[in-house]
Amino acid sequence: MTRTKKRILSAVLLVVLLFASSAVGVTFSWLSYSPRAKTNVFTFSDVDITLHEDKWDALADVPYGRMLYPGRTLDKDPLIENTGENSLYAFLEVSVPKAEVRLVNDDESIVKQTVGLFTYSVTGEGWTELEDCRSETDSLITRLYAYLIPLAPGERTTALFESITFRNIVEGDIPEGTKLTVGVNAYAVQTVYLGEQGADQKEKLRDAYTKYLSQKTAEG
Amino acid sequence: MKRKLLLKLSIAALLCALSCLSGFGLTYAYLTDRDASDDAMTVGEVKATICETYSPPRELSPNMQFDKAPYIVNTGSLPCFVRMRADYTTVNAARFCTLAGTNEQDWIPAEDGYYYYKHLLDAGETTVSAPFSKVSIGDCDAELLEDFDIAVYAEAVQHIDHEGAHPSDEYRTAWIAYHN
Repeated sequence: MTRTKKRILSAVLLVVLLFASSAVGVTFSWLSYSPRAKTNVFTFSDVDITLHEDKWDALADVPYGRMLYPGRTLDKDPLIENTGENSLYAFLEVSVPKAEVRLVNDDESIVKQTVGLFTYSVTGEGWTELEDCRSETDSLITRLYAYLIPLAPGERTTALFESITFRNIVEGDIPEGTKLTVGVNAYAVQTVYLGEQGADQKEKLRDAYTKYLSQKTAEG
Repeated sequence: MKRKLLLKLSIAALLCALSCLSGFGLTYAYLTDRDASDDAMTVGEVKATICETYSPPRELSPNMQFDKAPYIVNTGSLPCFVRMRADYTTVNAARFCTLAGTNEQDWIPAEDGYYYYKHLLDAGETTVSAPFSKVSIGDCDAELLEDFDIAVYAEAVQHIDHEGAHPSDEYRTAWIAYHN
């Protein structure tokens, strides 16, 4: 082997050694030492939430509690509790069924139109709608809301809303016995090491939700 | 021989470096969770049916009385308030006949001609009494008595939920929204 070739080989081996060292993080000590054994315990962490709707749940025990008639307002109060051990971003997705019905307006005029069958007002402090996540199909209108404040372990969000109201629909347009659902889905994603991007908190939450969604899509 | 060894070592080193580089730029899985609520509500309906105990007389005559006691059954799925009225199909019948036997603990006859049931009628329930139980024909010229019908008409209106209770006068106020 020529001198040049020896030098090249040495350089290559050195580079390889440096890469290996940086990936593994090993520091070689030239001094001999025999340490006592030490066990480092790593606990796999998790994000855990519970969706609460205390007033809504109570309606199950009330006669006619979940029966609908035109214009009826029912208690429904979704909020999220962080029941895990990590700080998280919380999201609520609300899906309202829609149909073509005859609506009776306040002036008693009747108009046929395709609308969401329930209305609600977001009154919970700290919630904001991510408008570009709104979606609509032939039968459903879905809106996504983000809680602006990271939720620490044990903390709860405010309730997104306190009640929902069945539209003032002409009797019979929705047949008696029809089951209707206002679906509420709660999502959460870790706050640490998320790397969310955005000019303000709302944009960051939008990015956080995108990361959550990408992962869920990949998981299938 | 040495050349071959050098070549092998170089390839090995290159492969090692490439595998280390591929470790950078990985996407790490995020910790997430979800929960859901999708309990259903049921669309209800207000429906009522009249049923009655009735003994039609074979012949009409002045100063007679016969039994007729209509009740209302809530055949819908929602609690409701009900009212009833009875109308005669001939002018003479309206002149000479009266309805008797009103139980005013349960029914209130009003100036608009309706009898208002004072209690909330739950789904499947029947009024505990009839607004009247007899039809009386007064003192009149028998020649003026002709066959007639008594048309009994009932209406029902939904009860507005007041968190399990209802105002004591809702049996009247419930109809205000209905008329409006």
